[in-house]
Amino acid sequence: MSTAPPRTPRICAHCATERAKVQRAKTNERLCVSCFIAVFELEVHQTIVGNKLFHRGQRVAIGASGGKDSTVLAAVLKTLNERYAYGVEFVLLSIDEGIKGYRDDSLETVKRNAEQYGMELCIVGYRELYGWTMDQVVEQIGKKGNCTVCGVFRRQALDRGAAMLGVNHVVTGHNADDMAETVLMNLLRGDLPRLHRCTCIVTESTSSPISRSKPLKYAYEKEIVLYAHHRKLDYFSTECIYSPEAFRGSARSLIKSLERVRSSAVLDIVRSGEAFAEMVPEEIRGTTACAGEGKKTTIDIVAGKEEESTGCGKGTSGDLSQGGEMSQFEKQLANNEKAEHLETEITLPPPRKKRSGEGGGEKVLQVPLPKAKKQTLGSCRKCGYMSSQELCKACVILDDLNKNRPKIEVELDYDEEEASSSIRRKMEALDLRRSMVTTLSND
Amino acid sequence: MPAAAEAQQCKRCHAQTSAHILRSTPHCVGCYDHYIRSKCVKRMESYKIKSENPPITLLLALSFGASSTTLLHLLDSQIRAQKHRIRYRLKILHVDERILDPSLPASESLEEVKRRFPQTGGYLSARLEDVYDFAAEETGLERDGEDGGGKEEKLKTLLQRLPSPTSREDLAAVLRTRLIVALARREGCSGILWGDTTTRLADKVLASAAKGRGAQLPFEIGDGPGPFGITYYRPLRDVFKKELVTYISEIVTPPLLPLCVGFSSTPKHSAAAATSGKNITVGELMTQYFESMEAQYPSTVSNVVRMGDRLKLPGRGEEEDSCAMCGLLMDKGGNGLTLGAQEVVEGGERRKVCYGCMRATHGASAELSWPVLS
Repeated sequence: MSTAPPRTPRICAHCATERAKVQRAKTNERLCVSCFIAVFELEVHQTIVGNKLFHRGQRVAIGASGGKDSTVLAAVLKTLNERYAYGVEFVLLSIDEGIKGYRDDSLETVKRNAEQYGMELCIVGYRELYGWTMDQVVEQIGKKGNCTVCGVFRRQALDRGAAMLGVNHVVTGHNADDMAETVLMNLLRGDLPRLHRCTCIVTESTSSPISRSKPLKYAYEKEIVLYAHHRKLDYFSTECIYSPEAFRGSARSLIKSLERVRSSAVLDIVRSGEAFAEMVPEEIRGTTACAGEGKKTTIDIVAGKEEESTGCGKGTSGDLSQGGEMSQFEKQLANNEKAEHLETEITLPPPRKKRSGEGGGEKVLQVPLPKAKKQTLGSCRKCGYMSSQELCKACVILDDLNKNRPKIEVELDYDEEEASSSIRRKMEALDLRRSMVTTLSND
Repeated sequence: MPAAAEAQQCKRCHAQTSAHILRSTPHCVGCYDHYIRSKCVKRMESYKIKSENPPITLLLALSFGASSTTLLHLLDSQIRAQKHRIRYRLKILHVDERILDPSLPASESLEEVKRRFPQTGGYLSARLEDVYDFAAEETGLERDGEDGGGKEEKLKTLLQRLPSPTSREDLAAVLRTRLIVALARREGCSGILWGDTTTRLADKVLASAAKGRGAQLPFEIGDGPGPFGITYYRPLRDVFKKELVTYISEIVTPPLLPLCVGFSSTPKHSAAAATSGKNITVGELMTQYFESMEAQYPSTVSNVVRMGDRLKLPGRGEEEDSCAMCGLLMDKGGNGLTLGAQEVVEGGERRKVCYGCMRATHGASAELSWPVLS
């Protein structure tokens, strides 16, 4: 990318001695490699300190995929932990979605990283946990909605992995570009509750015992790549082979164009997103907005209630034309609009007002709005995971998936008890696998 | 337009053959016109402007684009219809921005409009650089010692020093709004009518976000009390841009199109054709994004606006908490991490500048002489 006319050609803007080799995406400054690495680390450090992300003696898991973001995150955290004596013990937590040609290779990278950084590693697999790999899921449901399934599965898998590692805080490699993308996506979808929480650096949810944070929230993707390159980090650079949601794809290509026009746009969107979060009215912050009443598949319903961003927040770029999801959303909105029309034509008296029978006659009593149902947290009937419903989201999806699995069709009397016990058995198997992995990495 | 629709019957009156598809139903010319009018009238009604003595005056900001020209046309009929019970009078203002781009319409075009709508209200025009006439003070004067320069020179220098086309576009819009507000006050207007369509508002939601001006969104898209004690009205918020493009050329007779000298069906910098993105601005990019989106996903576009409308200013701060540049509420967020860790804002004496303005001026080639409005 060409830039503004160089004022001090090729001399690092910070140390003013070394030759500038790197141009910062964030500020357009030209820096030498060591100054760039220093300022990159400093900014992550400031993010951590400014938000009090960690405390001494804490054990924190790094969600590691083997990709550039999480690899850089692990490297930076290790460096900072030593430099500033955080006194935090970092461990690696990986999810094996079971995607051939993508995850199997990237997990090898994570295993190497675990050795390089001397961190404990735990791998949680979808196959062990749910009996389904993502490859099998996609084979069955196609690529539509697979990111949702994966997102629901991942959330629970992370929680379970964190529990196995004995941590209550997981850091993830979401960068500024991811954040900006999510902000735009939520704007395009008009999703206020998510808009409210998507820029939070730490997310704590009542439905999860684990808090998550994003120390790379202010770091540009481009700078992360540069950092990884100059520190010669070992990372895996293939992206997930399953296409991302169309909204995310559309938001992503928009971000890329904006960044070309004005590179600060990425962080400006993050900043605006933070401002929007404050502007979302209280009453819609917590509860999830109710979408239309149209018929939905189970997966759609789960998607609507999913608390974290659906999917993994990563993916290849796409544009408006690839919009199965977008046209569906469009159709749903159009139907809602039509329904609205019908509603206004039947003008009913305001439903919340009731005449008090005996007394004043004229008096109008204001009946308080029924409070939004407070979700009470219980645990899933099948797998025991925290859930406000009878079944947790993963089990709902699994039910749907399993219904269509040929071997279950053979059974005439489908016994739920058996299904749940099989999940429990798989859970126990997980512990075995974990010990296997740790021994593996110790070799 | 659509050949397929030609033979169909208008789904509204069932009498005429339809020529246009509007909101996925065939409409004849008369029903199309009725639809657009009623959208505007309904919105105007919702503002509940009471008839007072004397009636209030509203300022219509006319850019000669498709939207503001249509708004003038629609309000013209409304005003002529309100003979007995006058609720508002109109003043029509055009801001000449040829200092930014010589190809923009000149105020002479107002004559043409005046001939078409002679009774609608008083016409006035101003130049963008006139904003300096309303400045209480200017920053950076002592240092530059260019006190003698005319306002045109001043504005030119200011714009030249800005770091990018996006900054120029952004701050020119800030100045334009402030000038329009200042003139509205001078002319005794209590409100300003903007021509924003659904498409434009959706575009503003995302453009505000991309310029770091998210915190000021309600002033950009909302109806109601504006930031400077003047009420903002956007009566065209329920129609799409593409509908007005059809409206000005094929529905209204005689067509409004010849009056819309600021309207062009092809963007100056095409996002699709741009290779480097050097010349195009964030605003242009967003405008094109939504103009292409409304063709395929109109409900998504209006959903963006509906959502944007629900974002409210978090409890209003005190008066001092407004930005010295744009005059809007300060966005206090945005620290070293969003601007770059090593960038320390030097000097405690610095004026209060919001995040969006800070971003737009960041990297300016010299101290800016900015007109600070009271």
